[in-house]
Amino acid sequence: MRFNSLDFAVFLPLVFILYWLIPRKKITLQNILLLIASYVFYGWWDYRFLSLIIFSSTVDYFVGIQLDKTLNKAKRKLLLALSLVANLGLLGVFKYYNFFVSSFIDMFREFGVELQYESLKIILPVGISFYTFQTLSYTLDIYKGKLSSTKDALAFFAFVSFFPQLVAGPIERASNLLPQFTRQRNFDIESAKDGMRQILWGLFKKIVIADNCAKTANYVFGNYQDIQGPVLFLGAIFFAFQIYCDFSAYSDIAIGTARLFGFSLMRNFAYPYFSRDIAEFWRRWHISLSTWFRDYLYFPLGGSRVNNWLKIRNVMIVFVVSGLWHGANWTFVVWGALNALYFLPLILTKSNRKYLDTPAEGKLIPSIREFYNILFTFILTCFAWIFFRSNTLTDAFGFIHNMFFFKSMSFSLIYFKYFPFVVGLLIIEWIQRDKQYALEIHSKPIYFRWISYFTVLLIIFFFGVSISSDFIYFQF
Amino acid sequence: MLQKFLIRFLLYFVLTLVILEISCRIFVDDNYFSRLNIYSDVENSDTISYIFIGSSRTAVSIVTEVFTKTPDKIAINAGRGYGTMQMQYRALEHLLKRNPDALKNCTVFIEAPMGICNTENGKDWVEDNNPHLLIPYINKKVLYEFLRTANESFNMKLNVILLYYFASWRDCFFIREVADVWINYQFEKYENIFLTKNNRGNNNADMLAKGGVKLDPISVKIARKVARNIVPVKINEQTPLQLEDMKSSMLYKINRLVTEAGGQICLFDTPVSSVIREIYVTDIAKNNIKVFSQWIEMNYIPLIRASFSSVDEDFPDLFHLRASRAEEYTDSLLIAYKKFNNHPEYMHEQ
Repeated sequence: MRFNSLDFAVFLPLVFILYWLIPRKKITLQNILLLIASYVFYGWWDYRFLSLIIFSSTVDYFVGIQLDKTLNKAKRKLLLALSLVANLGLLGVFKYYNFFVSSFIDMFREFGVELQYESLKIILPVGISFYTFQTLSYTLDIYKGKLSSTKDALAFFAFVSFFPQLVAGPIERASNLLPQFTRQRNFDIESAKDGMRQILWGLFKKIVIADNCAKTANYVFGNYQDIQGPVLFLGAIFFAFQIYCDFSAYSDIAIGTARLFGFSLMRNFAYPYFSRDIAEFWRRWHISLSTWFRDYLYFPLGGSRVNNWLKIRNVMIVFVVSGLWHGANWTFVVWGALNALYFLPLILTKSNRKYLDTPAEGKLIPSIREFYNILFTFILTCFAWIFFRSNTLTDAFGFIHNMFFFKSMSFSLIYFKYFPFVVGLLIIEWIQRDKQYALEIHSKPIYFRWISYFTVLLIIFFFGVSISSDFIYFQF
Repeated sequence: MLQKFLIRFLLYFVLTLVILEISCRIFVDDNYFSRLNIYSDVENSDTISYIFIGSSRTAVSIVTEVFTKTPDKIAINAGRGYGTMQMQYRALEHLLKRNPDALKNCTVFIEAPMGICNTENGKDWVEDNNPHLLIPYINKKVLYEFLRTANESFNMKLNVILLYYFASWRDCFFIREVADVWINYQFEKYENIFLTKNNRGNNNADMLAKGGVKLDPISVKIARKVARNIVPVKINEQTPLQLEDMKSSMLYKINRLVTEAGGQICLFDTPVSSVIREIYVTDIAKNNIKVFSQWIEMNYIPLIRASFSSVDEDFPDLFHLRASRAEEYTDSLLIAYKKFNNHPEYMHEQ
């Protein structure tokens, strides 16, 4: 079920009312309802793949209990391996099998050896990368002794499949979300109103900005061979805003929806395009995944408390794996590697934590230096997005080639038609950059709030895209 | 607290909806939706002489004026891109409700490229992105039938309900289209000021494909790519047709509806490019054409083949016949039809 569908418009109020009709102290009943609702939400897309969530949840539930019971190191390692094999095995089969086998065969072909294979016609289950990482974090935290296992199977299963964040995150940590399933949730009107605002803002970003930008981005990336340089630059910029608004919209709706049920999810985006360097960008973009990789891959590898060569290795591994997490394609690997290259100078010069504050804090406009840094970081990001968006590496290099080597300056202003939306978004986000999300206006007078909501709704009504599309991150 | 929240939310939601609904009912020209009704102009006319039913291929290749050279003849081109046979059936049914004599002695031509019609069984009522095309023909009874029988998702069924009951939901398509055209207009205006003729790009306002027939070079290139990609998909989707299947087809229902109303249906072969032709030359397709021919023979439905030759250059986007050849094609179709009817003009050729 998509957040931007009529199905969800019926589903959400129904579950919301049923949920709060259950007496607050009946946590078990509320969890049963949430679990059923989450499975219906997921099964709406393809019920067969519910078995994968149930499988992943079951393995980690029992592994968690067994890990808590034993102090034997070898046995603990074995249990951890079991969880890793089960979860990464699912990912391996459903997401990477065809990619690795075909890459292997291509490699042999380079040496003149022809191998035959039948590619498995596997459908990628929606959200598999998200929920497997969520359950993995639970087991890894218990293994490291940071968390105790839960014996409440219902709470655990509901935690893994919690519908607001099930298919595209934020990837929650058990330490944050799981306890919320075991304690009493109270209806808080301010929190619910805030949740509604965040949902509205998410819908605006998806239906108006992302889907409109997608029209130009899809057109330009689909026909880059026939399009001249300046338009290709514009296509890359539109894709940058498409993916940002698409993905952050999903997170906004997820966080807002969770708040309606009395849950608090972690922030996933913090105005990433106002970052002043790449390190700051990665602290502001897909925060739940970046911190996941930091905690469960980068730190175990030694992090930055090692010599420079190992630092380089660690950074490369984390970014390349992060690229692969997005999809089984060499374009994602190059995207990850490119970000690692951007990041390395910062970490080697120990300036990766230079910008921890809000850009231009306390000022209306940034200084020239800040503006230059923001712009430069944005250009680097856009360049990397070209690899992310292209279907193949050949397409990506062809796109870049045509960006810089073109025969004529022929272009139409019509390509800029969605630019005012992007500019409007940037202005609002800049003004609200110290808030959790751009429509956080609870402290404003009531007339301002109501006019703002109505304006946002009207813009959706007038300029939204009629044909609703999937969220991009569903495919990851 | 929950009650307070729900009341506030409902108050805001209902208020917004009411404002939008009233605004749309007052300010949005009702013509938009009545124009979607294929037969809106002829609902009050006497009988219609010819109706051409089909896809966008029919829409662009039939010039109705060729058939109405004789006075008192009315011809309607009901070719619609993104329409379905169910939609065409409902449109005819709706027309007959308004004007029971509309189809008396009318020839309803139905598109049959390479000698085979769309044989869908009517469970797919609407094309995914264009459910509003069905709305002009819906009343409560049809809506109930749609909800009961249509093989559409829950989302689509809700969409159709909202389209039927709420002007704001219906007009949303229209308003967005108008807003889009307005933005395009503004950009084109400034383009004329800022850009000289030489460095101006292809200034096609609807360049970002929305499904219409576009003839600017880039759109044509895209459409050609789509055509080439569609062929293998269509071939893959082919299933063998059985004679019994035709009993549940929409063609069967349309035939019954038309004949009961005093008209007759007649299939017509439409020209296709060599790329699209590939869909019709697979073993399954050949067999289906054979079964289909048998069925039309059994039901005395004529198939008219115009003597018209075309090359791929006549299909700029590989889907649609070039506008400049449409009249010639329609002429040849008329001649073939007259010959079939033993028209005195062509008696000597028999």
